[in-house]
Amino acid sequence: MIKAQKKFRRTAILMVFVLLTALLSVINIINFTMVGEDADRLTQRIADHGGFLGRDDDPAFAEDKGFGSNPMKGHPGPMGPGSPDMNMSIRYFTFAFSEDGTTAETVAFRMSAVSEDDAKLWAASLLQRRTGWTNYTYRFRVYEGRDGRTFVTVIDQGRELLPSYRILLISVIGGLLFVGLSALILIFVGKRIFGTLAEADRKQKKFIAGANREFRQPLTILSAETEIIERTGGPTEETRALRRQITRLDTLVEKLGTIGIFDEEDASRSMLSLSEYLEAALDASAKAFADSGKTLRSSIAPEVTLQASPEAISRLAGELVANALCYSLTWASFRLWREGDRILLEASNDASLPDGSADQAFDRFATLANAAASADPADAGAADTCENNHAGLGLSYVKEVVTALNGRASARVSGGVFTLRIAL
Amino acid sequence: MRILLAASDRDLLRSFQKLLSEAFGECVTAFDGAQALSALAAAHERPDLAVLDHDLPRVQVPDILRQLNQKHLPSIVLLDGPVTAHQLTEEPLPCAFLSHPFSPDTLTALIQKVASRALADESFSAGGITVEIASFRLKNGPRLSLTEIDLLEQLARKASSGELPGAAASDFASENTALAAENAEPVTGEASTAVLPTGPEFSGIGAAVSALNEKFRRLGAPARIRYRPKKGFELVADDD
Repeated sequence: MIKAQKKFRRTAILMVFVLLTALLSVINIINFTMVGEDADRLTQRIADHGGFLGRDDDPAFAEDKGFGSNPMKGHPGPMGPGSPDMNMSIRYFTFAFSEDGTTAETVAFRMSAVSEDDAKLWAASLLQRRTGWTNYTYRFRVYEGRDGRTFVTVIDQGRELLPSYRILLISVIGGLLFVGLSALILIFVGKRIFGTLAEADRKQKKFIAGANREFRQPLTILSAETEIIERTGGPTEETRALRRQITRLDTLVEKLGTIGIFDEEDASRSMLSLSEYLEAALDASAKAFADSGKTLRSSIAPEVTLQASPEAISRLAGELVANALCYSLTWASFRLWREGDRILLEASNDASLPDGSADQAFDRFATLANAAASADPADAGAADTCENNHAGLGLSYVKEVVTALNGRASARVSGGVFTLRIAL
Repeated sequence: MRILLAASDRDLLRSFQKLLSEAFGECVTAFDGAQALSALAAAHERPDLAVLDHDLPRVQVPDILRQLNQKHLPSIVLLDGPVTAHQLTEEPLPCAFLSHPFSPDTLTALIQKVASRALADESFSAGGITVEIASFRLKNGPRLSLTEIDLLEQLARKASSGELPGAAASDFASENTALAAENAEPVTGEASTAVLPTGPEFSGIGAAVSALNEKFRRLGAPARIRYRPKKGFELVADDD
């Protein structure tokens, strides 16, 4: 549950970060784009007027859209490039270059930040381009004049870009603060949510464990009473039926005992050799595999040790091998090795399961109907034995043990081969 | 033989008193821990072996076991789940554990085995370890359960016979009736099943091995039990 909580927290924070970044990126991109478009409209207007912005008494200038509005009369004037006061405030220069680009004539020069000669050189460096940003805050346009010369107009958009940069900075700082705050909230909320879930999960396991324990003693009593009845009056059909039902309940009790009732708190850990436990499980099953006509292969590195309880490791090894015996068709293989600090265990077999069915492998009660599971009950080590000795695939317990040991278990089915991989 | 059966369930007491009386001659019952201690204190009718259910009221089972061990009386404790390595290493330790559900025959067989062991004034040694069978303990060391004694006996026997270097896991799965009795109920009836090396039986082997290794460590004995691939369990020197 702690792992799920951490995963939820990581995923949620990542989602918040991604969504916020996307949103703020879109806003800022649109903002900067609009500034660029406004600048382009301005440079286009300058280009349309032969390289300089129209004079106040230019009739053509007065015909521009939005001019003629008088704010004092209650008509709001257009803002931005359409404003009638734009020609008074814009800082720009325009140079006309000869065909070979060597001679430049000043068409308009209204800028203080750079000298006219430097501006001329600057414009000359832009001759090979069409339009864009230059020196971060200046927008330029290169165009053909009516006289065939090449005009270069550069306008200063620093004042217009300043608010956009402010918005960008506020977006970044605000976004980071928001993500941080979201993380704190998610940690707090996550603890409450997962605390409730963990408690519910713990109660479920305790209930199953308690139910399992409660069933056991009555079964002993039933068995004893049946024995007494038979000793008194001999076996009857009724006592035989009783014994059959007792057997069924015995099996159910054992199955309940295998359904993830792994309470690590009750188990004492010590340094154990996983190699030895796995080898023992494999050796103990060798005859069953042989009787089933299945090949068992293994490559177990020696002295692979870990801190765990013997019950957990015994069951882990036993369930893995038993699962392979039940569900493999012709072969099963086991591999155990170390990679640095990690212990890796891989169990494969030709279970012939449908691709994508591996997700169910760790579900409690999950059973998969493959050829092995539906084999003739008369065959040694076949489905009847599997059914009577396993709750489903038995891998739900494997996953619980691995999780309790802070490991990871994953399964995949590909090309008819089922592979279970455990990393501890 | 006089058996003391202590359990809080009256139906269990009634049915097993009848069965154990038929098998052993006499079976006295106790409904709680206090009654069990009273039965143990009776000078003339002291039981020869005690079977205690794990959840006795009034007086807890460990307190009763201490008394039993002091009086050198064998005991069996009934559990509601497989025995764990932790339980095998805790003191006071009974002579044997038996997990519910079990059949009357299983309990009867276990009582017979525990009683015979308790009477056998024998010891055996292997790998520098000496087991005092009647005392159910390592010499100068901690107590052992029947499972552990059987395990060590098999290891010692196979090692000395030279036939096989050690005991295979499958040997314990099929031949060790005490282990089977303690940890896995043999299925009777029409639908018999092959026993796969999984579940409580396999756990029982692992628990016993782990418990013994822990006891060797506490005793400072220069030995431990290891599993050799294809060769089975072996009692080896600690630095092997």
